[in-house]
Amino acid sequence: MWPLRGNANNNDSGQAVPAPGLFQDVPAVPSTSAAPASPPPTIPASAQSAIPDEYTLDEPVWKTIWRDIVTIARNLRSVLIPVNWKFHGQAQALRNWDLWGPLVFMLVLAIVLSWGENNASQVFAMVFAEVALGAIVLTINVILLGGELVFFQAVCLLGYCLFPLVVAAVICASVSNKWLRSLVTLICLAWASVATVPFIGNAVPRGRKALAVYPVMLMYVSLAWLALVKS
Amino acid sequence: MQGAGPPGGYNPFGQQGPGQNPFGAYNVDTTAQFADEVVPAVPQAHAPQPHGFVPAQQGAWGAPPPQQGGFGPQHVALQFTDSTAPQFVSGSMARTDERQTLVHGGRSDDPASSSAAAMPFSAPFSPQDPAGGAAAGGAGGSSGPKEDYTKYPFYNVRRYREYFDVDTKDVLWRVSNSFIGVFRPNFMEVTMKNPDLYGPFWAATTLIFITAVAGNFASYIEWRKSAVTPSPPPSGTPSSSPPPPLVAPDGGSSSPPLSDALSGVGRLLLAAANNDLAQKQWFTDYTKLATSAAIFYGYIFIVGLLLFFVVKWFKGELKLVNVFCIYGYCLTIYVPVSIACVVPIDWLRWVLVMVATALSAGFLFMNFRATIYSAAPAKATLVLLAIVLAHIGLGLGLKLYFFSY
Repeated sequence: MWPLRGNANNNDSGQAVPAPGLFQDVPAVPSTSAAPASPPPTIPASAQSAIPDEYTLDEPVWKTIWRDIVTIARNLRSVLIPVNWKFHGQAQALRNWDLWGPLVFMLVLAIVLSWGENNASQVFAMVFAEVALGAIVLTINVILLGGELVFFQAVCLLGYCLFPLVVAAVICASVSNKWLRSLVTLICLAWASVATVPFIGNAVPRGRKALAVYPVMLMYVSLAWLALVKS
Repeated sequence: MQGAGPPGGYNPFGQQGPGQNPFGAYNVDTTAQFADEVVPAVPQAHAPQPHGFVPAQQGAWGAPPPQQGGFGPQHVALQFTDSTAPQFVSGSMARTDERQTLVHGGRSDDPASSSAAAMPFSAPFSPQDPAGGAAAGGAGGSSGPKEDYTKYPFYNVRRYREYFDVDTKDVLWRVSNSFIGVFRPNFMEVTMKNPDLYGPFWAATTLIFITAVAGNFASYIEWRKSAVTPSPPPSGTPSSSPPPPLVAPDGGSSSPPLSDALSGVGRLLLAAANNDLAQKQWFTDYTKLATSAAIFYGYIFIVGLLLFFVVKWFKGELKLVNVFCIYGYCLTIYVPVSIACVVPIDWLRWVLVMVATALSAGFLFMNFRATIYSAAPAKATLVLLAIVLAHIGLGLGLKLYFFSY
């Protein structure tokens, strides 16, 4: 399953413990070995810390899936909980990016927004296209403005930052009080912005932050509007 | 990049000491000039042109031009009388990368790029632009470290950074200048050296989103008005595409004003919302969304391309990116207009859209005038008239198709 994940193995996967904790800390120093391939199991585990000693070919499927779930949860936490969202912290946390989380959030957002619409398939297609293409275009925009980003890392972050909008869409779909809807949408929009803007804004040279942040806000505001007017 | 030297990048300054270097005097002197130039961070267009700077740079490609022989003794004297000469020499060793940037990336006729290349990793500075008060709009080309984008292959995104090399203040200046372009037509000359595609792309994209959102909001206002006073459905009556049986159950599913929803059945689907704030549809008219994308992107791209080919036909001097830049920025005025057009007063919408169209058509006219007149003096009036007419056509189309909401 690794093509959808970042290929920097973190250190704690070197332990033989079956499942790392859901909210275990991301290792401060990422391993330098970029090779996703697992070594043969004959290598003793104590000899090195950089090379994971687990042999992922014959492990149970559930274990593989659980590892991805843990990665998604950890990335979600590091992106969305604005405790330490300095640029380096977030970038380091996203060093083992994955695209499963963004895929899930894009799908959920598109499904929620198109639920019960007259032409649901069109709404679904439009939302999904906007979100997926938007992440790609925004990342390219940052790179074109002179920022240095890891492409899939930025796509991963932009996808994870859809989570507040998913929350807003779900709440707006179930609540009909318009003040509550507006409040929830605003809060979720602010949450998504707080999670995204430092990462995007610090990736580009000084004096261009607004240019990089503006398209992100354009996309989020339009999605929030979609959520707000959802019946 | 004129005077492209040996492809391997022979750097006469690089590996050999100043003693063996036949152009050691140039070496030392260039470094000294750099040390002088870097500190004040002033582009050399305005700096007092150092006497040895440009010739030294030309001389870097091999044998110095013969007429520069007079410089030799002078600089050798400078080298030996100046007590800081060893410092310059060591500095020259340390600055190899900078000079390579200069030699490979800079152009000797482009003072901005060479001065920017001499100070990589420095904070963006704002040089005084030759255009005086219009400083911000054209300054983007020389702000920040400049790298040679042509070193990337064509499929690398970074190759096209050249067209996104603007700062926030540049974009703000360009947007504001596109509003008042009729009265101060210096957009073309300011952005001639550094056109960007950031503005055109995001102006068109913003317009697509804004017209959709504003159209949705305006239809909500309209629906509220008609919900308060139930009236026969206005204008878009038999749009026939919305199937009424689909609307009615959805509209009346959870809403008390069932009758209102039913009265709105025949209207546009946009306005046929159900209950309270909840608008049933957002981008209901999907063909409209696709059309708006086609219009905004297509206007910039196709009309710009046509104009470019026409100017090229007359053998005029015009870059395609400049055309896209101007056409893109001339659309920015429609962003506030499309927001203001939410107000449901028809004559106000007409006035706003027509004023915006006049302003941006004037912006196009004034900025293309010099170029087209120099390219084709005989046919210039015709071409300019075509530009203005095409733009007025765009304005009319927008009013009738989008801004009526």
